[in-house]
Amino acid sequence: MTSDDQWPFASHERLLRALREQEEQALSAAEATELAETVARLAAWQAPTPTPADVRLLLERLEPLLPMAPAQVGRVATMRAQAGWLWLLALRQIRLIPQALWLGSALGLVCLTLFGLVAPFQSSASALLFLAPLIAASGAAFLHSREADPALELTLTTPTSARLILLARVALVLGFDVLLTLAGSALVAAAHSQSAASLLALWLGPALLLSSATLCLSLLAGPLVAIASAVAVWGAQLIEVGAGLSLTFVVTITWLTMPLALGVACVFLVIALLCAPYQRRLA
Amino acid sequence: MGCSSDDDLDEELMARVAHGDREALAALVDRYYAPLLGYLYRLVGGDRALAEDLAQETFVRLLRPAGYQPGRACRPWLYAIATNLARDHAKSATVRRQATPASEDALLALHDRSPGPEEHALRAEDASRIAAAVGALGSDYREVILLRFYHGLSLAEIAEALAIPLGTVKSRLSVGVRRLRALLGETREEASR
Repeated sequence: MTSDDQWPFASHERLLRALREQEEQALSAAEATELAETVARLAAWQAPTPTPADVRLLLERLEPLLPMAPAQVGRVATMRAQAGWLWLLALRQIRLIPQALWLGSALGLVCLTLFGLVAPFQSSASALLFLAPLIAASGAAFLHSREADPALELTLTTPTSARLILLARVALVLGFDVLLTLAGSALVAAAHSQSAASLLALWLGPALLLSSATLCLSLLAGPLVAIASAVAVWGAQLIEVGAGLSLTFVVTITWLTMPLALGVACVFLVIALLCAPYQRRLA
Repeated sequence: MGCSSDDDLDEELMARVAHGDREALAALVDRYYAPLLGYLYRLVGGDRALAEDLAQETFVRLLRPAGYQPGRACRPWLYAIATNLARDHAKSATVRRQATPASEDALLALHDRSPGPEEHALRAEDASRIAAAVGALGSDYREVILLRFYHGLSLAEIAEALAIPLGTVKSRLSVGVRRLRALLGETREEASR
């Protein structure tokens, strides 16, 4: 016997007591002794005991099955409720954002895709690089604008944080533009038997950077100033004016790498979120 | 194990396990893995691998939602789960008794404790005879004898674990011990021939 599996009747007296307890009729002393001898022999049959590794393996199997602690259940429930509320908030913003914003982006990107399907690949890539970021930027310029969206004034009077509303709108509008452009790029790439990834690498970084910068500027100086600045800055980056005022598209911008674009876009987004609650209220 | 303070501790551990306490689970495993493994090992006739599977499954059942009712004695409940699992296994059509009652594990378990090869052999032979005799008892008698004499459960705890009346526990123990005596007498005679 091991320490974990002790023979419980090491004492002869205890064994005799146990035997008498189980007998309905009184046992004679001789019979009790005989039975005790028989039972005492059982101790010779030992059983294996689990090793520490066995115990560890069992615990590894059992721990995932443990019920969640009430505090953990509460946390999960709260997180679910918050996620559900954010989902509903985003859904409601889809209806509140002016339809022109969705339609404008969709129309622009459909035209861009159609052009890409019929034009040579090089021209398609240039058009995507030039226009996709501008389409995304125009959406960003008007997504938190009182001029374009009179209902925004009322939305901002609700207890919901202005930053949260802005974040939901950015995610929706920018996500919509990126998904449409992604689909368009895939079609164009397939039509020209080229890699969709190379097209994506061309416009994604600039689109994120330009749209976040435009959003930031629209909050500080208004949407028209923001979109005009975006067109000017982006045009200056991509169009080279040659002799006799001839215009040439620069197909790639070598200085703008994806990590840099994402990093700067995040900085602009943070600035925009910080500015969002301090917009002047006109109603 | 078996006294009321142990029952209180078990109940406290079970309550903590129900609230997802890992330390309580480890404590419960520490208290009951070895006894359950020993019980199942003897109940299934010395098949260690099977006994380990059944012991682990017993703990898995223990964690099922609404499995344990607060206030219920934990030890008989655990043995009840283990017994039912062993019975279900025995009933399954695929079961074939492969291991001899005195399996290699039983012999190996003695290895480290025997001072010399002669005593080692004698004890192994004795263990083998006892395993054969216990294995030859009917399962009803085997269960009560294992719970009573190897694990020290009280008559009431055995009645609760096996869901049988107290009187039945007593009569099965009484008959079981006498049968065991007869079987061990027979094996002794066979050995001496």
